[in-house]
Amino acid sequence: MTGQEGTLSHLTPGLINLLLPVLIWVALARLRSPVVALWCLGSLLGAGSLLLDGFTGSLPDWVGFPGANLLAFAGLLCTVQALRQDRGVPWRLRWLVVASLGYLLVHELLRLGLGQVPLRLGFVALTNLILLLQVAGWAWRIARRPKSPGALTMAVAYLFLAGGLVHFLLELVLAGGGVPTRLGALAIGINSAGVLADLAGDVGFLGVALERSVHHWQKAAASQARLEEHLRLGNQVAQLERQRSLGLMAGSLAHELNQPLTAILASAQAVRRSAAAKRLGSVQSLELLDKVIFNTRRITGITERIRGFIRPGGLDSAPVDLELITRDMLELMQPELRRHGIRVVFQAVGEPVLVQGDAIQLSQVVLNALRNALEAMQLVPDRSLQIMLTRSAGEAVLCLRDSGPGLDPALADQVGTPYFTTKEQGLGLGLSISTAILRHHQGSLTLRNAEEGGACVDIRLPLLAGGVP
Amino acid sequence: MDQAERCRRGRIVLIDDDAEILAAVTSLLELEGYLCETYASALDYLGQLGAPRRCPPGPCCVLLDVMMPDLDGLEAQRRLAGLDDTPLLLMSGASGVQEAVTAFRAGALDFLIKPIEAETLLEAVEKALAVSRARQATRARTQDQSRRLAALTPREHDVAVRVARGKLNRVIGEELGLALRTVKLYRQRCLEKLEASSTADLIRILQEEDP
Repeated sequence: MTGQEGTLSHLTPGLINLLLPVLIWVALARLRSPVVALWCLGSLLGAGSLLLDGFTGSLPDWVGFPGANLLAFAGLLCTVQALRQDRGVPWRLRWLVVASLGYLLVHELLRLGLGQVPLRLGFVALTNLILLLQVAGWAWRIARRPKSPGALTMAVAYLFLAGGLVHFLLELVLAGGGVPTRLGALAIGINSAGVLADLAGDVGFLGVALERSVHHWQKAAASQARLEEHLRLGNQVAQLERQRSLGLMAGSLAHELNQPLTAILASAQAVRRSAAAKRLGSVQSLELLDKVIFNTRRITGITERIRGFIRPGGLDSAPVDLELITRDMLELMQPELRRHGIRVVFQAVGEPVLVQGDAIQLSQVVLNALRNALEAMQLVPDRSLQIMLTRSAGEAVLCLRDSGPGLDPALADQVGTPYFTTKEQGLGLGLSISTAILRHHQGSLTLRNAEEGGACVDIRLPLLAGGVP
Repeated sequence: MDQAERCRRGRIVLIDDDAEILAAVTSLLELEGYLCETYASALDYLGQLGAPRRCPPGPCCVLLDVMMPDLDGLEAQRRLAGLDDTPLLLMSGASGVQEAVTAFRAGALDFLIKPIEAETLLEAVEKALAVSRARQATRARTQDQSRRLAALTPREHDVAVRVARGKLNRVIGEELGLALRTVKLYRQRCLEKLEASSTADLIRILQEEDP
């Protein structure tokens, strides 16, 4: 633009336009991205162009004309690039540089070489018009999906400015090669339209950014809610599975409870009968009563273990001794293992192996592995279970190796997926629950066939810092 | 109460893998005057069956837990059945109907559910010892009769068998090529050697021997 008329008409909007990108940059401090940076840069360059335009009179010509127009062109390029970047189809940087240099070359040719003012004005207006249509077009695309009032504002504002430029071009053409008579007024009009458009554009851009931010938070909140629901349901399923595994043990547990009860009843009745017949010395009575007490404690121990295992409720996160829970679960499964004639060898570390997590859920994993091993050995005559707990490279590794037939390689892929089972009465949930629990604990479960025969389960959990010697 | 008296009253073999139960039930039974032998597994008991016994002969029964690790009660019952006729009582805390049925089919006298009431236990033990006594008495009588039968000469045995079949002296004589008088003589000697009071008694003894 020529800008001979009134420095103020350029200066004030220039300053406003300088302020806006700074405000946006500050407002979107937490949402900054290359898109925001490009947009703000575009606005800053535009503002710089206006300011240079305002000082045209007091600056050398080469600063005023090519400088201001080049800044305006580059600013618009940045704006287009910001929107294209947002849609994921940015221009290559080298093309932007080539375009800017080309623009400068043509501009200077027209200004110095030909000295044709209308031609130069036409060139500047036309290039700006093309870029403005680009901005409006991309803004329009952004506004469509998802529906965004901010982007729509941008599209309308730049379309409005493009309309102004079309008008300017028409005036040039109508002037028939000469300078339009109302050039000064036209320039002021275009500048004002530009300021308004930039203002609306910046507000629109801010709007889009905020809309997206809200949308993002909503999505994050929804996914968080889903995750919590998932976790809650997972806990419930795990709880049910624990109850089921206890149910499977019911027979053995009844036996386990009846043993001490039998001893208690016999001891108590021996005292009772002999006291009635005055046939028992007090030492012998005391011995029998001690047996009653001892066996009552045995029962308490069993019921404690059961209660501890099925306690419902949320997840706990505390240091857990893997060695202790392995022993506890072996104790709980002991009658069942004995009934099936399974020899168990437990190679322990001999001191606490601490991992972080929920003791009950980890117990469930161990119990599940024990039960799987037990069921795998139903059909073989030689039943032995080797359990090894080791520490290596910051990990606790619990390895259970049975003497069963091993895994069928054809089915190995499916093992561990929910509802896949080879057992007639299984639900197919055990292993997938174990896997999920271990994933929660940053651990893992792998199933493989041991070289010596039989299946092998490796349960890995990160050792608690300080748990390693 | 001394050992011999306990043996006469009854020897009870207690097999359970739970030491507490062995101790408690032993206290109860010994207070009632029985002799208790305890084994932690059925294999231990089977292993010492052939060894000579300290105890003088008397009634005996086995009280066997069903749920045991090495050799479960039902399997132990099957193995014992082939070895002797000691009455067997089974006990269990968590067995189903199926196990009880199996045990009874295999000849168990009773199936006791743990925890066992003292009354029930003592009653079952008394009944089992009574069965044991009866079996021992029958066995003693049969042994005695076998010994007496063994005293017969082959000729006398031939005559006795034919008498038992209800044949007349004349027919027996024809069959064996003996004179009627000789048959009568052998017949008289058979009655004496078998300590039979009548021909009817002789018939009974031979039938028991070779039914």
